[in-house]
Amino acid sequence: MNDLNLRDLPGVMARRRNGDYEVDLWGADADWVDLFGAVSFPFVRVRIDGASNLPASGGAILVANRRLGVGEPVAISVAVRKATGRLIRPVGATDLSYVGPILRRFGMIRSSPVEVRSVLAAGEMVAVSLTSERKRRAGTISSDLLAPALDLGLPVIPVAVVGGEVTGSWRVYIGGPLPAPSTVRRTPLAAAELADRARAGVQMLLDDLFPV
Amino acid sequence: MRASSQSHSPTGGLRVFITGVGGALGSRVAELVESLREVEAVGGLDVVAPRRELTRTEVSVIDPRERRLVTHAIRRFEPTAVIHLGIYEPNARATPRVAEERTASGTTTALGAAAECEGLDRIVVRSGLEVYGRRNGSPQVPDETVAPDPTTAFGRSLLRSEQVSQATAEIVGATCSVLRFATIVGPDFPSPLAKYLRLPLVPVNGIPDAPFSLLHADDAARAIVAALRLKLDGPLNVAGAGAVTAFQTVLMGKHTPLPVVGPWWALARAISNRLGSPVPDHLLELLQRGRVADLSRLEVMEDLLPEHNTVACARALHEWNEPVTPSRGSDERTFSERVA
Repeated sequence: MNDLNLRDLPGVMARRRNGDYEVDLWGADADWVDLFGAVSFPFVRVRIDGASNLPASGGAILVANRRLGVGEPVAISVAVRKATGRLIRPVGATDLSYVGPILRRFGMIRSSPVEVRSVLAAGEMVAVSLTSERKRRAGTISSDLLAPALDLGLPVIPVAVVGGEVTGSWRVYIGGPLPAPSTVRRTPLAAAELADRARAGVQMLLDDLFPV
Repeated sequence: MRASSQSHSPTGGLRVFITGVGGALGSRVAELVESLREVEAVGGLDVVAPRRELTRTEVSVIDPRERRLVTHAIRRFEPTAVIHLGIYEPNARATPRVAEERTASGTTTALGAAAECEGLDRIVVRSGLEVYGRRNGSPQVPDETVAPDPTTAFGRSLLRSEQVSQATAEIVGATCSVLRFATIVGPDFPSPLAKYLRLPLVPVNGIPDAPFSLLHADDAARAIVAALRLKLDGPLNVAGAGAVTAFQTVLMGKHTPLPVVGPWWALARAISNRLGSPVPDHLLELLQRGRVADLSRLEVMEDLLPEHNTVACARALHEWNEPVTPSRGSDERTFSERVA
């Protein structure tokens, strides 16, 4: 997918009139994503640290803190795209009519291990959230969502996101990939341990950013 | 999905029996099977004669609901391999009721009769992605480990064929390749979807519509023959790479998409039916919720990889002639019914 300049819009529209565009298996439309990027980039100011920890290619799961709202996933999407040019798939689309397919157009996927696995297997990056009601605290995550990374031998990367929708200014801190679990067996326990490490990794980043 | 070692009949070669040999897919498969050196004999049955000239295939033109005739034809042939393509898509070659009856009866009878023959060692069955269903909460891109949960009559019909085939294979100790195809399209392949997308004004799901995959009929035929040769065992998703939406496909053909939402679909279906392009429930499901699958297993099987991707199939849809369709109002009664 390429960065879209709003001046290219007439050309894009002409191309789309002939059905000459791409929708992937999960419903993401490259033009919609690029248009969203072109519209949102000026309003979402993101500072990114640790971008070298992001893989240039191949699948990975980014685990980030999140409060209510869509600010954090948008900030991560913008940050990753700025740093690597890659599209990231935030987990959280619903199956509701009209709403679900629209979210999918922007690259979101449903919170399902099967879906996460298929996206990772296709070499894409996935962003999952540790939702918490408390500010600067990492919440919880279902280990089922991280199990596909374990099965496929892909990195799990903790990410801390701080900032606010009001200011539109975000700081995204990307940590190093978590070490592989001690056990070589891909058991539910190994996935649970990985989820605990991911949570601890995110909390550590938040604590580093905001020491008590 | 695993490949097993080759095993042939006591006389040395494979004796391949193809159900549904008269259709576009069946006759293409028969043509390819005829060309295999390891094949000793080819037989088949269908409700219509093959659409291609077959030189080595013994064809029996029988309605699959004629249990006695089907059983006799299969027992007489003594197959060591069965390719079960006698799966009838609603509104493709028959009405939904007749399609379901032919599929159910033909599957039970053909595989039951084949199981009684000595030396049956492999079954290849044509199934479809419809078996996964599109219930709320079901995976958008299911892989073969996802439990089938069909939500349409055609999906249930396919799943039943899979189950009968697998049960038969287990009883006789044969392998069973279950090929779950995306919607098959081809220049002479009767497909309700292809016909629908070629209407001048095409109702599509309101903003936005869901992606689906397509499979070229030639690729489907090649995959079936490769599964036969490799003696694959287990389910395998087969589709052209990538996805398209109905809206996009309609634009590719310079036709006009008409976004439809909720209850307006009932009216759209009725009008489409009047225009000669019925919308069976599995087609409506595809238009509203899409139908794609994970192809990770397929991607490592070079012999089965489709040559045409989904976008190429969608573009070609508008270049092909109108598919041959069953004559409306044709006598679809069985021989017994007609005699009675």
